[in-house]
Amino acid sequence: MMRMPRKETLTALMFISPWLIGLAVFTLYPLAASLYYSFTDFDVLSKPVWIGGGNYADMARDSVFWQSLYNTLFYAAFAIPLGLILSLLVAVLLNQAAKGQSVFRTLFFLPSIVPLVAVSMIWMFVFNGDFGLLNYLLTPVFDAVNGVLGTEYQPPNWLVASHLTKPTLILAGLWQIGGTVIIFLASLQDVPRSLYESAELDGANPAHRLWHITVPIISPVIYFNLIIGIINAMQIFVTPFILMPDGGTDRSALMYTVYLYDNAFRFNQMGYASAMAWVMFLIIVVLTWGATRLSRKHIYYAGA
Amino acid sequence: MPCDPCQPRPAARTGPDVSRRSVLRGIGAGSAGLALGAAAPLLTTGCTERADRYTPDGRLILSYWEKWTGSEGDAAQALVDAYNASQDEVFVQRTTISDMQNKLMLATAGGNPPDIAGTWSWVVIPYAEKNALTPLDGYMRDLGVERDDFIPVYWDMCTHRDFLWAMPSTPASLALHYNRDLIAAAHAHAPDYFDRHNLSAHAPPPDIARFEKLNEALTIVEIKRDGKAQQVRYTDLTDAEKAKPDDSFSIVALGHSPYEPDWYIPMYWLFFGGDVWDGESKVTPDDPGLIAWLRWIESYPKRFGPNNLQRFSSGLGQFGTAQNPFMTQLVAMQLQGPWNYTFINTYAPHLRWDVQAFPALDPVALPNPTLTECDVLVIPNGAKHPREAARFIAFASSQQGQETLNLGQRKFSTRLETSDAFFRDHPNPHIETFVELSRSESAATTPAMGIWKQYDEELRQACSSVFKLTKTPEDALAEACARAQWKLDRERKRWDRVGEARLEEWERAVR
Repeated sequence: MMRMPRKETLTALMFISPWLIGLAVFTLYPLAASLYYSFTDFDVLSKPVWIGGGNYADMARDSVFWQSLYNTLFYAAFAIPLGLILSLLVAVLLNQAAKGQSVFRTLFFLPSIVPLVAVSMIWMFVFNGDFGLLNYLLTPVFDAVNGVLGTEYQPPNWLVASHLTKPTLILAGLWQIGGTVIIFLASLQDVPRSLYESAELDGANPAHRLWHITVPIISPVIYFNLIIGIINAMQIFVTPFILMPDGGTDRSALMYTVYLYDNAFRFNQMGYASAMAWVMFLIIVVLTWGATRLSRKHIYYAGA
Repeated sequence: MPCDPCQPRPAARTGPDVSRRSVLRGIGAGSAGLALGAAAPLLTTGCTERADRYTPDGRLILSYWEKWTGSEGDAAQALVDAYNASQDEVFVQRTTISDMQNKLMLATAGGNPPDIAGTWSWVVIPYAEKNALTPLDGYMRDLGVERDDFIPVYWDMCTHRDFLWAMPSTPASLALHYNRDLIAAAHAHAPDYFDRHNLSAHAPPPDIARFEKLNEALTIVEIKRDGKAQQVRYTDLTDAEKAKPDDSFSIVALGHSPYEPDWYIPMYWLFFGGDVWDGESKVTPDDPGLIAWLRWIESYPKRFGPNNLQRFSSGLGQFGTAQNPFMTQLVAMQLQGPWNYTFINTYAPHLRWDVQAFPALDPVALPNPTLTECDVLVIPNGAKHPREAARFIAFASSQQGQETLNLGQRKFSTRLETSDAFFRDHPNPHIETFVELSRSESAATTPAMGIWKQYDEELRQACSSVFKLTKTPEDALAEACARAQWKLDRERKRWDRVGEARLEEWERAVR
């Protein structure tokens, strides 16, 4: 490899310096600072006091920390696979040559460009236990069932019943699959038509073609969406924060990042919040590494 | 590229010799300079001092951050205008700030706070403990402002560790607001019930036990009888119908619920003579008053049904709107402050209402109980002009300042002495009840602990679990108190590390 003359290196560095300075000021410094603060008792307003691993030890015995971590993992465990499967199915449907194809593609992508706060407010109305849209639709169903069975069942209170709060968030999350669908759609258009034609000649039905041709060919994209899904799911914040700011009944929907935010900005426990952020970082690294290890043998790279 | 001697030389250029590389280098250097220039203010925030600003006529400009908007903001501006007109040395410039707590925290941490900030009394202790406020003792002493001139509870909530950190600006005490027509209608429906429980047709009783009897008489439910839906009073339900509330009926209107609104839910224990800590180092999960408070909260879902209550609440409008359930007469009794007058006057001017002290578990031991709180003026630590800021705060605390601000905001003065004109001109016909309550021996404040906001959160969780019948009062309280104790211990450990230095610093500052 040729070495760049020093002057050219300097010129190049000067060109990228706006980004470098931005990276240093807005990313590297906060990262380093938060690592340091995670070992301190820091309330933002006064100087941090070094306490070693005190915050991490506190975290280990903080029941709400564990509960928020469990809630987040539960959410991720369902939201990621459901999101991936639904996105892929929608992408496959939108990839079919059909009348109004571009209209459908636009409609499916639209929710992704609506601000999350606005979407959350709409969900708040949809899931409202008394006058929500969902229960409005369910009420006739329940009435019919009650009429037959002679029971008095009522539609559930989605945002209040502790066993329903996490499923409600998962359901709300599925609404915004537009971005993932677009990525799948792009990759589907790279699948050679000849493979489908050969399979069709061999008598493969649509499900076989999807499983044996589409999925292997687009496996790198599935892997990419899986990793992005893990990162996004573990950092879910806006929807639970708007729908259930107190974490819901018995903190059943208190997500990790919401608890982190509470510690940082409501309780001024910035040192503890920084430690939580680093633990979250490590969890995401481990999950990503695990996903990479597990999926290594199943990903097909045409160029490899 | 090597020079070919056979090639014709390019025509001589008349301008300076500017190579492509040097142009690129120039652009690169320019970009770097711009980026550095943009980043410099960020990098140096807190390291540089803002220059003083002056009005064209040479008055020093003081920055005053205040959270009020609308008519409350207008009243604050009237106070500022009066002060600016009263002297010619400084000019107070009010800026309306939303999300005051976070912005004040960040500005103070960044070393660039306003000269004066309007915040809440519950901020005083945690901020003082973190050295984010300027102690006012010396300034107020020099300006002749003394505790004896103020309603004690408001002065005291501005102090911590024997230092004065704030001055009260607008006070509040909480009283039970009740709908007179609904009580009269309930009485007309069942006069015998009222007689049996020794209830008045005109006002709620002073004790919790009878208050709950009135609550039941005011509560209207919908129930199916013989296949037909009908609305009846809760007191008219059969024992069998009351036994399974969620299955038997739904709520149409409530007499009272501690969750309407839920603002004070972690503080209702004060009406039960409870306390959440020993004032020093221990929280009190076994306090009988706390247990009684949570059992009272538990009595609501047990009588009316947890699902019924949740459904009823989810259909109610928000506080500052015409759909507020007190305005729409869906809730007959509410714990509120003097500001409620403004909303009633706006959204339900024809409502016939009154106020009195919220009932107590034992009204003899605890006569006229109330929760008091106030908005306060503080000088953040690091403010550039504390002496000038203190003069404005002293003006705001004077009788003239207090009456200007609080008449405008429909509240009352924090001073013991109030002019006759203030009450004469005050539109709220019940304002003197709030004043009396604030002077009551049973007037309480939020606990003077730095972790109160976190403790409050834990108690809210406990109430929520009890209200949904997912935990018993004892279990919920034990859990909340265990977490609060853990947090209190952490805070005390921190104070042990920095406390001595802090106290010395504060002593020096007030000398």
